[in-house]
Parts: sequence; C-alpha cells; structure tokens
Amino acid sequence: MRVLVVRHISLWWSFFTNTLTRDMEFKANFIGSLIVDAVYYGAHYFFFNIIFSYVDTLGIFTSADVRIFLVITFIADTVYMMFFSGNLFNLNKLIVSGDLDFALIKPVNGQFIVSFRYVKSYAIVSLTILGLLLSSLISQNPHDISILNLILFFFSFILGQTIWYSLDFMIGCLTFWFKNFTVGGWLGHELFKFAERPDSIYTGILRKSLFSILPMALISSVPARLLIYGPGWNFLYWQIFVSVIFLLLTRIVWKAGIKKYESASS
Amino acid sequence: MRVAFSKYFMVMRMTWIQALEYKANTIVGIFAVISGVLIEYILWDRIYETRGVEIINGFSLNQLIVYIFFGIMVGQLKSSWVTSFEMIECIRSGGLNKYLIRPVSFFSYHFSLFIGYNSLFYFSYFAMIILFQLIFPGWAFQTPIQAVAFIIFLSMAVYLSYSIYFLMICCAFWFGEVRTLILAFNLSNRIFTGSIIPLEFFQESILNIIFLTPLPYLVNIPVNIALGNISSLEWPQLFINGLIWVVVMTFLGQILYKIGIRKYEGFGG
Amino acid sequence: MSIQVNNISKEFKIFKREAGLKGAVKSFFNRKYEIFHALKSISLDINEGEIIGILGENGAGKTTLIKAMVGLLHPTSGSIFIDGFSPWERKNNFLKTVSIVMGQKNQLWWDIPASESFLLNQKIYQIPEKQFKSTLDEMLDLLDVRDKVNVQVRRLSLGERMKMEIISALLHRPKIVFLDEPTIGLDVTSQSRIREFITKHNEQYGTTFLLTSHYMNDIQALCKRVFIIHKGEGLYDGDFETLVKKINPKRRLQFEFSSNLKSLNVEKLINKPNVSINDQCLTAELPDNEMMDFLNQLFELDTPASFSFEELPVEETMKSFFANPEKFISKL
Repeated sequence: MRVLVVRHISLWWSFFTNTLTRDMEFKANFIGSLIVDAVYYGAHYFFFNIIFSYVDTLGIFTSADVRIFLVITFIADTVYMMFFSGNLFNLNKLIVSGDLDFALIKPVNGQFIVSFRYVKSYAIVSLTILGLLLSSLISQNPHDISILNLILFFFSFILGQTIWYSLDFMIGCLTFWFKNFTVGGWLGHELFKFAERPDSIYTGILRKSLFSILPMALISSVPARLLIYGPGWNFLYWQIFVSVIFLLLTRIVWKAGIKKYESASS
Repeated sequence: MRVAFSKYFMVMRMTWIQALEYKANTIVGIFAVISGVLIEYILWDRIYETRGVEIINGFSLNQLIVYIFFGIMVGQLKSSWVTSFEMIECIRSGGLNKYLIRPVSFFSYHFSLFIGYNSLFYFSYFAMIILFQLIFPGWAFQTPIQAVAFIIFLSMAVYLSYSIYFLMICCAFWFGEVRTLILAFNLSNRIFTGSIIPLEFFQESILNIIFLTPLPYLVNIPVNIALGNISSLEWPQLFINGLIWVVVMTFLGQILYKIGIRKYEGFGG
Repeated sequence: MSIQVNNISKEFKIFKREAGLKGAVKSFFNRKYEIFHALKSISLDINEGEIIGILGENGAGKTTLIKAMVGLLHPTSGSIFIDGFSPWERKNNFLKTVSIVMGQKNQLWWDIPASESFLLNQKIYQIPEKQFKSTLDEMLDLLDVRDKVNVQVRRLSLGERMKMEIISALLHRPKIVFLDEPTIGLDVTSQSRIREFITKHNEQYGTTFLLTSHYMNDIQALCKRVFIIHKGEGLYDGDFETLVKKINPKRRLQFEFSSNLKSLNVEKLINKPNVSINDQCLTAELPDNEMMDFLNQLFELDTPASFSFEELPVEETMKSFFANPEKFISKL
C-alpha cells in the first residue's frame, strides 16, 4: 500500500515537472491566466456586492462570511483547474481520437494517467494571491476562527475536491457512450454554478439533492461552514461518506467505459 | 450579391448538419437555461422575502426571473467563443492562408459558422419562448410588434457581439495567444451585459460607464424590449444608437484586420 | 515470449447516415447500423525473437489485429496468449513487456524536448537508472540523434521525431514490439537507418517485432516471415521470398545490341508480350524456364554490347498481388 502511494506521488511529480517545463516556454500564459482569473473573480465579487446592497444576510451567512465563502469558492475553482479540469476536458478528445490507447498500454492505472497527466502550473500564481486574501479575510472576520477550524477546513476542502473530481470525471466518461460528447466540460461548469452560491439559500428537495446526488454544496459551502463556524462533525462524516461512494462510482464507470471503448475501437 | 450570399448559406448549412450530430449540445444548452434560471430564482426569492418587498428597482420577483430567463438565452446566442478560438488558431498556425487564396472573406465565413453552430440553440430557445408564451401569456411580448422589434434587436446584438469578438481576434496578429482575452470577456459578459442580473440593479455610476459602451445592446436592451420594459417611443433612438455601434465596430474590425494581414504577410505566413 | 493467436474474430457496428441535411435530421432521431467483420477467425503463432511482417491493404484489419494483441480491444471470439497472459486483462507485468509505435501518431509531447518524455517513461516503467542511461545512450548513438535529444520535439524533422518515438518505446526493453508503419513519410536515409536499428536490436536482445508497412523494402529487409490479411481473413502465413517468387517468378533481362537494329530481324522476338525495344536496348520480363531459350535466340542474332539480369522490384510484385489476391492464393 505504502509503496503504491509513494509510486503514484512520484509519478505525479514527474507529470508536474514535465508540464512545468512546457509551460515555462509560454510565459505570456502565466499573465493571461492571471487576467482571466482576476476577471472571473472580480465579476463574482461585483455580483455579490450588488446582492449585499439589498440584503444583509443570506441565511446563516453574513456579508463578511460570504466574502470568505467566495474566496474559498475561487480557491476550489483554481485548485480544481490546476489538477483536474484540463485533464477531464481532454478526455473527450482522447477517446474520440483513439489516443487513449497510449494511456491504456502503460503499466500504470489508466484512470490515474488520464486524470493527472497535465498540471496547470499557471494556477500557482492565482492560488498564492487567493491564499493571502483568505488569510487576511480570516483575520478580519468577527467569528473566532481557531486552528482546529483551519485543520477541519483543509480536510473538508480536499474531500470537496474529491467529490467534484468524481462527478466531473463521470460526466467526462459519458463520451464512451455518446461519441462527440464535447459538452462534458460545459455541463460540469453549469453544475458548478450551484456551488458558487452559499448553501444557505437552497431549501427543500433541491437542498437535499445538492447534498447528495449532485453534491455541489459539499465543494465549497461545507468547507466554508467548517472554517467559519467550527466543527460540524455531521457535515464532515457526510462528506467522507459521499466522497467514498463517488470515488467508487468513478471506478465502476471507468471500467465499464473502457470495456465499451475496447469493443468499439478499430 | 445573391451568389455571395448563397456561398455563406452553404457554410451555414454544413454546420447545421454538423450541429445535428451533437445532440448533447442542445440538451445541455436547454439545461443551462433552466438550471441558470433556477439558481437565480432561489437567490432572489430569498432576497425579496428577507426584505419583505414586492418591487426592487421596478422589478417584481416574477418580472426579474422572466428577465433572467430571456437574458441567459440571448447571452448564449450572442456568445461566439468556440468560433473565436478557431479563428485565433487560424491566425496563429497559418491556417489563415486558406482564406487569403480563396474568394471568401475570413470575417463572413466565420460569421456563418457562428450562426450555424448555434442553429440548434435558435430552434430550441425559440420553442422554449413559444412554450413560455403559451403558459404565461402577457408576461412578455404584450404586443406582437414587440416580437418583431425583439428579433431585430436580437439580430443586431448577435452581429454586434461577433464584431466585438472579431476586434479581439485581430489582436492575435500582434500578441498570438489571445484566447484568454476572449475567455475573460466571455466570463465578464454574464454580469456586465445584464445576462443574469438586469443592468438596472447596478449603481448609478457604474451604469453610466456601461452605457458608454456597446454592452447594453448585447443583452439588456433586446430583453427589455421583449418584456415591454422599454416604451416603443424609445425604440428608434435605441436602434440608431445600436446601428452606430455596429458601424463603428465593423469599421474598426476591418481596419485592424487590414493592418494585421499586412503584418501577417510580412512574416510570410 | 511466444505469441499464440487462436481463431480470433472481431465485429463492429457501423452507423450509417444518408447524405445531406435530411439524412442528418433523420439520424438525429433514428440511427441505423451495419455489422462489419474486421477480423474473421485469424490464427497465428509467433516465436520469440522473430520479426514478422503483417501485410494488407488499408482497412484489411492489420491495426485491429495488432490492437487485439496489445490488449486494446476485445475480440468478439477466439483467444490470444502472450507468454501466458491474456492481453486484454492488461496486467502491469504484461504491459511492461510490450510496446507499440504508430507512425501516424505521436506520443512525445510537442512542446518539450524528447529527453523529458524519456524521463517520464523511466518513471512509468520503473526503469532502473543504470539500465535507463545505458539503453538511452546506445540508442541515441545507433540512430544518430544524440544532439537532438534536448531540442523541442516540434523543432525536429519527421525522421528525427520518429527515431525519438522509437527510442521512447524501447527504453524499457520490451520483449515484444509492435511497429505500425514506422517509416511512413520518411526519406530513404532515415528509413534504412531505422531498418538497421531494428535488425541490430533484434539480434542483440532477441526482441520480437511485429511490423506493418506499406513500403515493401522495409518488409524485404526485415521480415523473413509475413502474414497477409485481406478483408479480415488470413490469406498467407510463411516465407516472404517464397511468396514473391511464386507471385512473380519472372526476371528482367536487359540486352544491348552491338549491331544496328535495322540490319537485324528482330520482329519475331518482340512479338511476344513483356518484350520491348527502346533504341538499341531490349527489355524482357520472363520466367526462368523461357528465359534461357529466349537468350539463346538473341545470341544467335547478335553479339551483345552488354546484358544484365535483375529481380523484379518487390514493390511492383506486391502491387500486382494486392490487385487480385485471391487469384494468386489459389496458385500457392
């Protein structure tokens, strides 16, 4: 088990240095991606500023809390971009062009290769800025945010990423069945819009869905809750449960997809 | 003239055929509208409830949601980032030569592609509007003339949007990778053209700046015409202003393209 | 490391669509398909250390066969064993012993030097540092690309790129290598360099090579044995030279007359098919048994200024074979 973990970490490191070597060649992209991120975050921030000119709170979240929530959403988005987004976006192309072959004949788990092959190294710049922003917001927030909160947040954040990855990965795998399913990335993006709003606004059946079958509330809202309001163990247990289930589902979908791929390729 | 048109019509027809292959695109396109409206509805329902008011900035909750419903559709129809990415790739990889040696214009060819790619959205969104009209008569298009005006202003928005994208695409002659520029424009458009929130909700000072740009003509004005928020007396003035933007953007685009081509040829393609 | 292919077949569904907008609309709602038989009960045994050529026209099923052997697709029926492994279980221990090079696709990253991709492969295949260094050194020298290894792949010529692809596929010293059109589009020098390399590698490490190529020179230089697929069926499995001889047992004679042609009575000779005269030179393509007789007649007519025999180009022979393979196979 330990050997396996070490092997995969060292493989990922190779992927990372490999992509970094390439990215260093296109320096302008570092600035470009910083601009896109800034515009994206800026537009959201602007939007919530308008919202908070009409109300003071959204459920439990005050305007100061929503600020933290927003930055966490941005970090979630950026981390996701860095690790998975490009890879999963590429999945459709790999399957349609048949280049998936190369991933399958390597003596490494195929799902691991297609999920981690490219690392978007540009994201480091935005991530650093967002990290600084988050720590300054934490220090200004009226709630008492302890070290325990931070640890729980960190843990919950990783679980959130796992869940989002699993969901997006399964969407990407639809290409195995529907050729030219180029809209996978778009669909994922539309779903993520549910995660861009604090969970406190959702009620009823939609709220239940966003905590279960489409667990978008677990990506950034729950980590934000744990950070701001402290230990909510039920949230955390539930997150662990959902991420294990979803991760297992990706294995099943991937294996079924590969079977389909094998029988259809020529 | 007719010959020239039929050429571009063929291009459009080709992309329809291609678009039909991508059924999933249409389904996600419809999903995007419904889920987008749902998300905004939930948020604003909360806000109206918390404040305990019926009207905010002249919009009742229902009117606001109808606005967003139309706003998201118009926003989708005017967005041409797929085509734009292809055009930038053309300039960067030398694929532009194809257009220089053939009797087609780079601008018009890709405009046809853009309309063609979106063809299924035109059909499905049209169907959704009809359906909406049947279920909620009188919420939009109170008079038939509004429908005509909406189509005219929508066409103008689609063309104007394309010509703005074209300006940014031409920057590729100098800066190469400008896809990020398109992406940033596209993302900010959701807010600043009034696609998911009416421009009327913005602060006065910001609103004044936005109205100095062509952005309101892309989503806000066509949607407000459809909903009857703008009196027909104002239409001619808005139409003329929009037309001026169309002319200015087209003209700027052509100039930038001509200068860019000279640079491109200087490189030897 | 032997390969056994027993009676494998493979069927696909192919979706059909009528042309034009109407067809597109129709298939939007209802897609029709046909069954296509890509492989029809193919059997093949390959021994360790062999270099075997898989021949066939485009769409004959070569790539499908290779993919089934690497484990990239499930045959509809039949079985394959490679050293006891079923390829499509894709066990890591199996995958470490095979490799594939496709001339029409590239695995190396476009924007980084090949050396970076080699390092990544070292990690993926867990190649020990010492072995990695020595294998890489040796191959870079043999293929003469040492000075290109740190250049971005996109700046390499097609030949150099292909050499890098081959190195990257052989770094982990696989026991079986599938080469799908490795020399496609390359110039003559690069082609022969790659051929020499494959021969050497085969001798040195006993690696088994399965090769497809449309260049018959590749096949002739490398493969003693060939396997021919036609429309999904195995047509021929055996010695390549024998096949060529059987298809075209003729040789070409060039005979240059010393006397002026006008004074000679050559009418009788050039009346035959496959005989032609150009200036003072006669060319004839005849089977061996007729050739001696024909040559005697020529010598009676005139003393030659020069004459020579040559084998017919293998390229042309195979062209005539593929034009009508059934005809030749019945003769074999």
